Amino acid sequence: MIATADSHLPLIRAADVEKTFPGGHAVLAGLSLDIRDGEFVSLVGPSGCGKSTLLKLLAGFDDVTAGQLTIAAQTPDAARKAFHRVGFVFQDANLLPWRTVRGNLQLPMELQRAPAEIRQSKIDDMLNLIGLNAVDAKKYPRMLSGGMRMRVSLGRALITQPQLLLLDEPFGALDDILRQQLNEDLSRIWQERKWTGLFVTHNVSEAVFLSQRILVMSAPPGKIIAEIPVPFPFPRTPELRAEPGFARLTGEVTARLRGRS
Amino acid sequence: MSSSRPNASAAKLFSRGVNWIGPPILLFIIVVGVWFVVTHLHEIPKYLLPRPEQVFEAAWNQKGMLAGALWLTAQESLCGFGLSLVIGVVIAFAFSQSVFIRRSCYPYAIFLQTVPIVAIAPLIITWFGNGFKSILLVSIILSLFPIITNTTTGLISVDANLVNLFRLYNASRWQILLKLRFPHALPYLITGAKISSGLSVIGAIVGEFLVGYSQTEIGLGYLILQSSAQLKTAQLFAAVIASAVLGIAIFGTVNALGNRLIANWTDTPSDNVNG
Repeated sequence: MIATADSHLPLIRAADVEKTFPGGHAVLAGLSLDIRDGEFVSLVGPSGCGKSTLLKLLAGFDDVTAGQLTIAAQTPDAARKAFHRVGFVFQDANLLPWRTVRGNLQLPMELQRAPAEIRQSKIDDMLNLIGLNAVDAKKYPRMLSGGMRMRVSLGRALITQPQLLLLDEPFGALDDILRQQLNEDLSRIWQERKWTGLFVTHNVSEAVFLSQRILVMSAPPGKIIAEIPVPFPFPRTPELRAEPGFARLTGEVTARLRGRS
Repeated sequence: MSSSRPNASAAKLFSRGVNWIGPPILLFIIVVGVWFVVTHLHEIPKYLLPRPEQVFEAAWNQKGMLAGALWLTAQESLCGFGLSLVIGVVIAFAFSQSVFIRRSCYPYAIFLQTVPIVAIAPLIITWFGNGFKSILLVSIILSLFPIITNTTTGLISVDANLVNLFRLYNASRWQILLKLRFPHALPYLITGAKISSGLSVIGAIVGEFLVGYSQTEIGLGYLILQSSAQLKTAQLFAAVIASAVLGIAIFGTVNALGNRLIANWTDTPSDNVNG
């Protein structure tokens, strides 16, 4: 685990983060947020508001223009390099087509030069967790359905046991039923493994179903304009979606998104 | 799925073989048939267009020399192709590592593609003399460019998010090259290799034309030149057909090996002529 110097400090802290792309296009301006260790938080907002950009900054793929962004009191780049404990689930499954499911799950351990003898058992555990069998494990990504690919992608991100998992609209391309199933699985896995999750989506009911807290972002340049706690207890089951409280909260978040109408 | 399963029965393999080579064989028979009829109906001088059986006879009578020439040219072509493959991939690796290297060196790679080989043949002879080394060099010059350009395109056209994935796990430049860029470039490399395989044979034959051999060592290119000069047109035909067979054999091998290498993970081989 990443040692948090002060247990009162949040795992992620953003203070007045600003991101401007070359050419002067401002994506984020004055964005501040705190996320505690072990929390599951969703980030919703209109398209182009910089949700994905924020995740990329946290993963250290890009640098902030101004302001402070820290993971466990370190810059994202330093945190990633020091602890190897940040996972990222991309919008499309982003698997290596020339590797089987097993090979794809093994990749992060290979890159981190994990000892060979622990790899196979970790892969077996992960296949179990994401609900794939031994036959699926030998398949190449092109032989898998969209939902299965996403499961593999999730498994790959989790296999290094990240403390922080960044999810960039992972289920955006899936149909509703599949999305709901994967939401239920993701929620169950989070319950079991207790990583910190930051989940970007523009599907409000998905955000409500998964999160403890929802952060609403403004139109670009993006900042946080509302914070909505989600009070439903865990574990969350499909029945939750039928409860009046779920519909009420979904409506409330949607109203915030549309500009407090 | 893939076109080659280990448990495919012998009968299946046979019928697939027939599907593969049936159509070209059929066309070959038709062409030879037309050729046969035309040369028998009209009085065409042998030095202009020999009859098919005369070509066969010439080939049979000279079969030792023809086989020797074929073998020599095959060696030149295969060595030229193999070296192009290695050199081309190494250059593409270098090109993929920095835009600066790519910008500075690419124009000189294009030079390989555009240089009239006739113009630099005297220089090659001056440096390397007549014979195998010079012919090899001509073959490499002609067949190198498609490998460089295709492999480079493959190496640098990797999806940005895949590179990000590797960076997330602090992958080294070398890991990104070997585990990401190179496998991604493989289909591109194979396409380049298919083009190069034919060019390496052309290079070997043109090389023999230009930088030649002695009377004792004869390749197909030299044989073509010699037959033409002596108006031995039937022998010329035999040599041309032999060089075509050589080109087809090398291309076919590269095509089959290449497609097999990537069959598991690509939907359709980029230009699989066999359907």
